[in-house]
Amino acid sequence: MGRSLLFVTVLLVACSGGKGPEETDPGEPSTSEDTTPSTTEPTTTQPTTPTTPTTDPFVEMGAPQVLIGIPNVDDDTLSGRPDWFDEAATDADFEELVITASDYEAVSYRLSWEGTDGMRVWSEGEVVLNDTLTELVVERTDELSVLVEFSWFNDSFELTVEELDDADEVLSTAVVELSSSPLLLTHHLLDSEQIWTIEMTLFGDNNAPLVAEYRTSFPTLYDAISKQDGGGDQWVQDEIEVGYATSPSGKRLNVVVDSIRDRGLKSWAASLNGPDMLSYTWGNGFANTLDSFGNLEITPPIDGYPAGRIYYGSVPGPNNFNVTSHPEADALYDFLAAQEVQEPFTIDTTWLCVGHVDEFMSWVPDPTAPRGFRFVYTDVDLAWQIMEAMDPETVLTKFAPRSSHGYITVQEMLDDTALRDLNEDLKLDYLDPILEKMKLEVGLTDEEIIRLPGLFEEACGPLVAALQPGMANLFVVNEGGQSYAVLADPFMRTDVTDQSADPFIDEVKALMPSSLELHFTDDWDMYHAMLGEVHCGTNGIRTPVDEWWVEQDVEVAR
Amino acid sequence: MSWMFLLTALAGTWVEDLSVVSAQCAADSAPCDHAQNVVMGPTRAGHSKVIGAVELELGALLLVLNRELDEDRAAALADYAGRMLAADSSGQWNAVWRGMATEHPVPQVRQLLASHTRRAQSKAAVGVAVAAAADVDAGVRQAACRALASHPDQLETLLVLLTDSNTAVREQAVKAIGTTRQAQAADALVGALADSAIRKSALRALSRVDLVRAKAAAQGLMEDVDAQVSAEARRVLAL
Repeated sequence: MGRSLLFVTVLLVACSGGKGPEETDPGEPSTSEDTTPSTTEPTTTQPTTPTTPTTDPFVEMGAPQVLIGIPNVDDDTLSGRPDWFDEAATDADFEELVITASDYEAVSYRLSWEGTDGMRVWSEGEVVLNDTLTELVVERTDELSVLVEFSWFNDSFELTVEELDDADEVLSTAVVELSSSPLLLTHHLLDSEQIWTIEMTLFGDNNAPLVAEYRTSFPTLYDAISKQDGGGDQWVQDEIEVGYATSPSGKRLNVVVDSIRDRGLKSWAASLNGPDMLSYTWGNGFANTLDSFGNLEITPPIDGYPAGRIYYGSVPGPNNFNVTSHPEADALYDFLAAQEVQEPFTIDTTWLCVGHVDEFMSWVPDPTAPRGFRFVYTDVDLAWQIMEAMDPETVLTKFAPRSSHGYITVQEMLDDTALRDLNEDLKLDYLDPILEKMKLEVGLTDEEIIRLPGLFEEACGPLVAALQPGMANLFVVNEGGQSYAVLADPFMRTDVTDQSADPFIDEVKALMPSSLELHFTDDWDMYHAMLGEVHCGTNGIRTPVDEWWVEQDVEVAR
Repeated sequence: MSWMFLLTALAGTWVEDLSVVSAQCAADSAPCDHAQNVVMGPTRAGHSKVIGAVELELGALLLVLNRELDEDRAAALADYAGRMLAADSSGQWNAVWRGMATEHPVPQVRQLLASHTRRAQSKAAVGVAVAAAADVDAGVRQAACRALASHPDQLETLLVLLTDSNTAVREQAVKAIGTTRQAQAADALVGALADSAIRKSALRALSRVDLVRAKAAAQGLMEDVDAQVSAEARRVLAL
């Protein structure tokens, strides 16, 4: 059962009261048959035998309207399967439900539900409610504590809690919505906890510069994947997307969404299962490039979406000609949409050879920005402007070899009419419309947009990839209150060792937030030349702090 | 003995040219045509690409390509060989280039070999693209269009492709004509405006070869039923 999100402010409480009979207007018909829970008040059931309260002021039964937990699908026990299937009596991932007694002269509590195999309730080391056990009656105490265990994401089920008198008549009722956290994905504003790249050499080429960058700059965060463990697959961003489930009580499950892409990193991704970590693949079948997770990104928090919004590249128009070309045909995208909190939207990436949204846009933190972030977007006009201001005879050492891009000087690029037309077409037909869509979906203002210089060239037939190493294809690291962007060295210069002589780097430094420390890294051989950049080769775990539940209009137990 | 010498001495079909290379390789103490001399890796898109240093001379590289049976590897080799061929100003391998670009059984190989004529150092290499323009595969004809965009003297070939039965080919042809900046193509581009499938691209191409006529045409397209065409018309009028 999915949760319906209603967009008003939440009230966070330890417990809120159930309702007794005196709160029902005597002139109104009994509400005992009305089982539809209010979105603002606990459900009230009229007792069949009214009982006079014995204290003043009268205290109602205390129970939260909503109890949110995380699915118990990590592998704390290292049994090789999710803990849910182990049915262990204790687990730190259970969520505690506390019921406090009212002033009614009740003698017992009755907990009941219709039964579900998606959750179970534990008491004193025993399962007391599950798909077949639907009712529990226990002696009433001042406080009743039970543990709720969830099997999966974004599930919701009602639990009725009643206080009974010695004739088993209902004195007071509360309905608690037991909800499991949805799966959420992390964005670039969250603190970094771990950074992954593969470390590999391939016939003389290697990614040593990128590895050294992370190892030197972020030694406590960086974790290199060996070439063997990574199966020689440098595209760490594409194999997995890191997400999480959290609860208001502070519980957290890390989730590795393992792509159906299944190239060299497949085994490594599967090996990440363990305590507080689930690695799981949604869907199956024949993958295409759109199923890689450089094509699955998340905005920072925006209005209405406190944990950001998911976006991914897709084929525009109805999916009536090639099912496999549409990511949304996959189970994963159905699942992500069903999580509701980070409502996905799509953009057209069919003009790119690789077809991933990370190839030309990203997000960076900026405390001075209206919403704390800037949107980074590739701008072909700016690239031409910078090049036109350069000495046209500047030799472009990295671009010159025919096995590379084959442009020996800046003048050769400037003189390539087809390259100019191609990039103008891309701007008019794709980049500008996509920017408009991002403005619409995310509410971006021009002030929030940083344009980074970059051109594209044909790479697979008419489809394109970055000509200059794509700087918008960057990876943000947040550590110790400082934000960093690791991005590709554009190499628009003769002396490849002298970044200070690169006008593209100068321009980007001037455009990016002053609070952001920029690390321009040589990603040429293993990434750029193979149609990817820094972000494509990096992944990591971030600390989720976004309170995704604040869009609900109900009282949530902390 | 260099391959160049042999090929000059033994003029013949492109297959014969490669046979000469093959014979020389077989006679060499260090065989020159080993496929394992070519190192490939997967691109992010999943297809193979030649990486690292390749010791093969161009003739031997073409021989390896011609022998490769795996389509993905053959395409990677064609991409790499195409770059090398384009850099070869001697034109010594143009016959092989043309032969493989028109006769190789894998369309993607023909497509890649045709596309790399766009920036060929040898002027005669444009003949490869012209030949590819008649390919049975629409993808190869599109590649030929994109290559011919950088060869304004081959406008006639592009004009023929404007009448191609395949919409994508016509679209690439009209774009390429715009890139040639040949004002004499304006009439053909105005005619292409009648083709609703490529109208937007035709208007943009016209704006690149003759802005005055493009603006005149744009006036009549402001209310086009295709929103992309009407948007392009507004853009052209604002230029």
